[in-house]
Amino acid sequence: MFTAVVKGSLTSTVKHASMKGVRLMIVQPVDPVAGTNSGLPQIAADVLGAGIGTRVLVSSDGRAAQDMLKMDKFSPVRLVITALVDDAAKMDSGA
Amino acid sequence: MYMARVIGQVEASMRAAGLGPHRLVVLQPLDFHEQPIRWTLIAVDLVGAADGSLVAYEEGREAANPYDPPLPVDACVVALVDGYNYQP
Amino acid sequence: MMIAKVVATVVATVKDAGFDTKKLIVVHAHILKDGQLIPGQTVVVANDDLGAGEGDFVLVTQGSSARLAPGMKNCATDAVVIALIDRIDAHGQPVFCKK
Repeated sequence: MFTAVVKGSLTSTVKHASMKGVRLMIVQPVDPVAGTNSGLPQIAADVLGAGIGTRVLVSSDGRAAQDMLKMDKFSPVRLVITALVDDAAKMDSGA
Repeated sequence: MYMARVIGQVEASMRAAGLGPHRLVVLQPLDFHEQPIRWTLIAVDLVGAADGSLVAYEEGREAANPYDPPLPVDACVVALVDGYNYQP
Repeated sequence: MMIAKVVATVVATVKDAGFDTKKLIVVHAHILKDGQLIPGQTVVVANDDLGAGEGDFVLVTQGSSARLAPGMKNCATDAVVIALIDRIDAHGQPVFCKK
């Protein structure tokens, strides 16, 4: 999983049947502690209602996507927003 | 998924038996300013994407899922992009 | 998948049982840039059941999808040739045509 910020959305009429009714969001991966961008923006499926600017958790496992989106095993979706992040606090080093 | 433009196609008559007759397209991955990112790749086309189409594609084992039995492919065009809203 | 050119073969006697009878070839990835087919930076070893020869352009599937190719289920591979390329078109123009 990685943390990301939602930067936009994408619309598509012609798409794989398993993606009907699923929103497609543009997510920019960010380092959860430093808050800096960490990689290229990608497209993730969303059923939680993430809006632009929302910090989210994104899973890159197809099986997780199938569970979350109630899709069958024929779905090609791999990236899915699994949580809306409230806060990512730095771990105490315990020193 | 990444966004990409279909820039061409690959013809191959000698194919692994499991691959079937599906169309194979050349994709140039794009960022959301439509600038090229990453290298070109070949994907199997699920949605009837024409040359020049803006599409979304999936990579990895999941790209094989839509077919039964699954195709031996690691990239698949899964959607035609009508439009997008990007606020960097 | 990637477009790749066959540049060599690999011979191995001691190998996983799943590799028996499967040819191993070295392929050099190629990419399309500015309407040209040019060498990329990746060189990998792939299994081949289709009879690709040196100099041929092939289509290679990588990752766990590779084992979905016919006869590869029990083969400890992560790259398989799934097609021999006859022709590649980019922007409506041929960039490669098998002789």
